[in-house]
Amino acid sequence: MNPIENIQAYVPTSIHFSDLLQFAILLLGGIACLVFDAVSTKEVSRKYLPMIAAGALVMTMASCFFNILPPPTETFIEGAFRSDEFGQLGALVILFAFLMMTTIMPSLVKKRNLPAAEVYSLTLFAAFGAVLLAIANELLTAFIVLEIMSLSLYVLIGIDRKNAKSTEACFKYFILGAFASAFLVLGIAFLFGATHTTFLTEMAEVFKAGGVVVTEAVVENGVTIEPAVVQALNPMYVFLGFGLLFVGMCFKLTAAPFHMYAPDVYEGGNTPTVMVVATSSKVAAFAFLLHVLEAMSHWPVFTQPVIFVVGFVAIVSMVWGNVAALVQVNFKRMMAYSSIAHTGYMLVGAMVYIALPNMLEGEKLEMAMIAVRQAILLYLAGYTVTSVLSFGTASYIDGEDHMDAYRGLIFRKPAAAIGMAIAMFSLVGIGFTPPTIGFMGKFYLFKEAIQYGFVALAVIAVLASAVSAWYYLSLVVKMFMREVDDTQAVRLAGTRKESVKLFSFDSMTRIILFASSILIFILGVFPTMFISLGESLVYGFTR
Amino acid sequence: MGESIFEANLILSLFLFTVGILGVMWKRNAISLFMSVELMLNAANLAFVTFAFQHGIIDGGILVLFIMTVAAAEAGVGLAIFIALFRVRRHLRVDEHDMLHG
Amino acid sequence: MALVIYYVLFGITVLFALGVLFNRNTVRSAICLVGVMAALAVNYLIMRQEFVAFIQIVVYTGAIMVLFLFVIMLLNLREPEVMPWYLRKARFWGGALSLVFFFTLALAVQVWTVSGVTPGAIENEAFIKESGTPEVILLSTLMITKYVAPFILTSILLLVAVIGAIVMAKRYDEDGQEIISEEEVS
Repeated sequence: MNPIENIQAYVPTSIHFSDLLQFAILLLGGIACLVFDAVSTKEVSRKYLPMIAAGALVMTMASCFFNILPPPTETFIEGAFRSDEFGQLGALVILFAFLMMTTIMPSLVKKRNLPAAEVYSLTLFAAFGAVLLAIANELLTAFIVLEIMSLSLYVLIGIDRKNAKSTEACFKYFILGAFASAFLVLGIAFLFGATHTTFLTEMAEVFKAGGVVVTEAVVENGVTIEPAVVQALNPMYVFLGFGLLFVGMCFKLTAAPFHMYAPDVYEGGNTPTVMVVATSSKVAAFAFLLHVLEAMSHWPVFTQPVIFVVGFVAIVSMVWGNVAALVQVNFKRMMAYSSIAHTGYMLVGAMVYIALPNMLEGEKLEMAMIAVRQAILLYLAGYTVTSVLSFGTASYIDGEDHMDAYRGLIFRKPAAAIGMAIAMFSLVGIGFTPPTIGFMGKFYLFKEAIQYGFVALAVIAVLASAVSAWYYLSLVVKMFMREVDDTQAVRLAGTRKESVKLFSFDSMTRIILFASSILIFILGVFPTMFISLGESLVYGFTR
Repeated sequence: MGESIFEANLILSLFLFTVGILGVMWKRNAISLFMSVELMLNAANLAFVTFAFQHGIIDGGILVLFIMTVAAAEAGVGLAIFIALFRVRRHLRVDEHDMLHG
Repeated sequence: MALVIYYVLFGITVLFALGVLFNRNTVRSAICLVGVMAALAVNYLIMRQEFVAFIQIVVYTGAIMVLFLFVIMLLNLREPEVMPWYLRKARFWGGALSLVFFFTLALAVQVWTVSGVTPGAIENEAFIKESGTPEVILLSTLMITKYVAPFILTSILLLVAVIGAIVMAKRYDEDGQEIISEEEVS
């Protein structure tokens, strides 16, 4: 069969868009926002659009609790998607931050006079891109959904166009994002050249076989003729392709040598969007990176150099992020460097993931990979919940940027100060903060690392988090200190005299903040609950 | 002639990509900067078509079409962002955008 | 003969690319970029990808570059780059590093390229000639079967791009009402 007949004889087997029904709710919600805005006045749409957006997000999150997506062994929509833990539990984590963003946005829309329809529809589109990126199984699909997410986030960062700072942040984010996606595309091109395919599952087969298999296995007279390896993998293309792709993803993940835009973007952008950029987009991009690594790690030649590269980036991110965060005077810049450091911790998990296929085999390998994925996901969930709490609390504080706004916060706004303190303790996540998710996430992640022989890296990671205790806890100390000078005190946005309505979005924000501070403790005490939830969602209750 | 074209095209693609990186590093005007990014995307397209030609896979053409679409979408949003930036700052010189510093 | 044409084209592409980099006038470097794109289209023609070449011309030079030129003219960016590139130390070293990057990679490709055209390429060409099926039909078949997911998602991407471009470029007055009739772009 020649390639042309191949194409003409191609029979699509799994074009069932109903598989993506739960995520299509987001899409419908986004379009509904636009249509609703077109037929109503500004006040009405400002009031009801957040409800539509939050409703779509909540419905999607609820549907994540049902086992709708196909099991991880199957791909769907012609192999373009494959859902493992990141499709269900990961989608929950991603959508949680988006839900928080939707509840904070109404006050911002009102205060800064932003176009409501565009804000909420772009939020939903970004959520759509993020959840699909986490389950993408084909490189081009992944690139397109990544662009859906990124384009929405570029615009949302700079949506307040009268503010010069936010526009500048938008510009920087856009230019470096486009630069990164060019790297990503060339990387995909070289991987395509090496393996003749862009589908990750087929790519994994190619890497397992050590070359591109052109002829298929045939059975003649009861004798099976083995498939022949026609063209060996060209290591140059593979490494070049992977290197370029990894650089592109490092930009998106703000890993250390490619992080320079992050502090500026975090400082200039509006807080709810920055919260999503720091959490959801990172979770989704990290899921994609893990899937690529999973496909490639079956090739023995690949393992050692890539572990070295990923480990280097992880160490540089942890050290650089934590050291640079020490000297920051701006809260959001500090959070930016802290998120760079957290990317470093995540990459430790990715390293273990690459190393696995060469250590174990068969059933054991499957189990170990699931365990590592769950540890990473637990860590990501912890980071997301904690960041949502800290950014959400920060959005309540006027002059949220400057550290001095937090001086003596406990006496003016005790709830916010306590929430922020919980978040900070969870972000430290080492030593004397055991019952928080931050500690448990790190514990599980580093336990996997030590189990598979990355002791030195785990030690560096623990030391780096010990350094991070200084700046997180100094903020806590600042909040619990009595104000020295009353004229320096910054007015609080949250201390309004008006009574809080039960169903307003302000109260919903509070509820989510409260829920996330409870979640930090619940998941910290019972991390196995989260893990078993993931197992039952993805693999069904039979396991 | 296939082989020599193949190698030369890959080198040409890498060359265009490097020129794009240099442009992003050296240019000061935001629009020139973004043009360099477009050049990098073109380099990727060239690599795709070259690989498709070399291996006799038609898929390369499809991939290029999608990447062009993405480039067009990116260009649309990007130029709109430049216009917004220009309204606020009255210029597009990258070096002087330094309000955000730690 | 074909090879000679190809190398002339190679030279033209390289020259135009350098033109994009070294021209200090934005409009000129945009024109050079159009040149690169046109040369690449010819390159695709040499590689028997007629449809892709056609789209390259229509989308890139026809749409994207016109958009670029439009924005350059709209914002009236006449001022050239002020300082020549070679006077900026930090950038010089960045440039030197990426040149090293390029030469290493180019050398590596030279060394590592698996020699010979795969049988696929020759077969493919022969089959296309023989069967008389235009490339477009093959591409479109692929697009709605194997690559249906990116095809559908692209439409969403375009929707997002339209919303994003409008929201960033629209002008609002103080109350947040959009200004529909523009008197001038001051």
